[in-house]
Amino acid sequence: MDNQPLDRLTSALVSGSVTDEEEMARLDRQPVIQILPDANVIKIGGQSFIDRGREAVFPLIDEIVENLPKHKMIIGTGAGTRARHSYSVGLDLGMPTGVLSVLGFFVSIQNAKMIHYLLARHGIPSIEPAQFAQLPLYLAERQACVCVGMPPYAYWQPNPEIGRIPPHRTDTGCYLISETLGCRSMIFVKDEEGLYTADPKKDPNAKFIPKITVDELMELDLVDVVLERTVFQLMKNAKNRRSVQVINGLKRGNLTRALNGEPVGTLIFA
Amino acid sequence: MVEQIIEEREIPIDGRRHVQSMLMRESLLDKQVMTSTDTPVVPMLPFCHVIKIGGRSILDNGKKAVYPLVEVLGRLLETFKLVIGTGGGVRSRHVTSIGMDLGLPTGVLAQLCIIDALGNAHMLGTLLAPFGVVAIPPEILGHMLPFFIKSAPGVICNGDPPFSIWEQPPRLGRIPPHRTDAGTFFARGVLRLRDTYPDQRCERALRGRSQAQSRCQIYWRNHRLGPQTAQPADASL
Repeated sequence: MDNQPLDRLTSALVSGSVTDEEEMARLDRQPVIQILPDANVIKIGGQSFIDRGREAVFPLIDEIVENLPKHKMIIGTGAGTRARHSYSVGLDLGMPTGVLSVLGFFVSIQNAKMIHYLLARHGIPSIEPAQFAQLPLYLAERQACVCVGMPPYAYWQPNPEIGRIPPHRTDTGCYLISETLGCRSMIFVKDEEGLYTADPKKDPNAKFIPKITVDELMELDLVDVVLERTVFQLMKNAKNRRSVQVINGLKRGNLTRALNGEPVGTLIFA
Repeated sequence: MVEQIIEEREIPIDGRRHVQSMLMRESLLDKQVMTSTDTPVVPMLPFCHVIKIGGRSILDNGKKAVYPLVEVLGRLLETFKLVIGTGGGVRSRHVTSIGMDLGLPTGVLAQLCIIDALGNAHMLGTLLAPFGVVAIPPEILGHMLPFFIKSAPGVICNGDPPFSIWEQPPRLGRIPPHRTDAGTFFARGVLRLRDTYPDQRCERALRGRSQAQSRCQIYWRNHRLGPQTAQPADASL
């Protein structure tokens, strides 16, 4: 049982400084495993989707149920307009970013609970961060599981570069689940076809972008983007999930096509 | 105002049901919107000091390093309210190396490392118990801290942020970038506690409180911009 790479790694970590990134990266020879390679992570938008009510949500729930025989799905939820309300009140009251992060988490929980109850008759559970160890069992048994989209950073949410709104919100939380667990895909369900050069709701001249790299996207330096900017930086460092898809969930069939690996919406890759 | 809200709910222009607020219908990713949120923050526990005790640098050295530190902390606790975070030390490094060899991702390594720092918090907490220091599990640290810190001279907890499987992959390799220094520092930020003092510097820094802040800042700055690649604090800071 001779494992020289491990010996070198252990002695470097134990005796050296972990903060010497380059040396550690050089010794890091083993590929990262995919923990749940068959699972797809689907994020359902808060403001863009759930806040539209049954008109938008019911057809998507039907489509998720139709896909249960073929695809495993981890379904995360966004926060939406109530988070904007509590951020507004919180900002006015002088709340720090970490407290705003807790408030955003609460709204994301509400949305996860609602989606969960709509899927409950199909035996699909909903989990909070502490229950993630049960996720593999639920996926094996029931093919899908609902979770809170917001990462549980709470008071430890890093401050943003601009302003005070938590920079790591539900897009980031769902993306990190797909990266850490080495999932099959990361699909963001929104109410627009995908990425545009500007917010198409405000700017009629906004142009649709079907496919773009993270570097190209950063170079464009758009005033407004469809996903949290932290996702792009994380994608560049990712070991597993280096592409994400943004789709219009209001169009029936888009989710199914995305799950089947078809190009629909915008593909962003690193 | 009330009428306006009712109107918004009854006629949703874009098909989304909104709640009237400053950020209503705004994209939180719009840089102008983000800038508009830059407003003053209330201090939560301005009378507390945060101290991070190193795992490998202090605790792993056993009684010769820890006992004198406990004595110092005991004296400080008579005057100051202390929030103490601990590092994971050599066991965190060992579990990281085994985890990396097994191909586990950054998020899993972060989850594993939390456990070592928690063990160290229990040990140091035991030694500080005679001084009234309370060890707090990380799940309730945030919300119960004001209660405990009003009732006890100090609290102790693991220094890691609770990122766990939501830890972010680093630029190089896969060692979790937000470890116990970063976690303690983030907690300090939100609670608006006083400065984070690395290890032994705490007594000197706390005693000379008037210069404490600038000294702490100089410490971080020097090591962030210093020439060496190996830093005494998490690079993510």
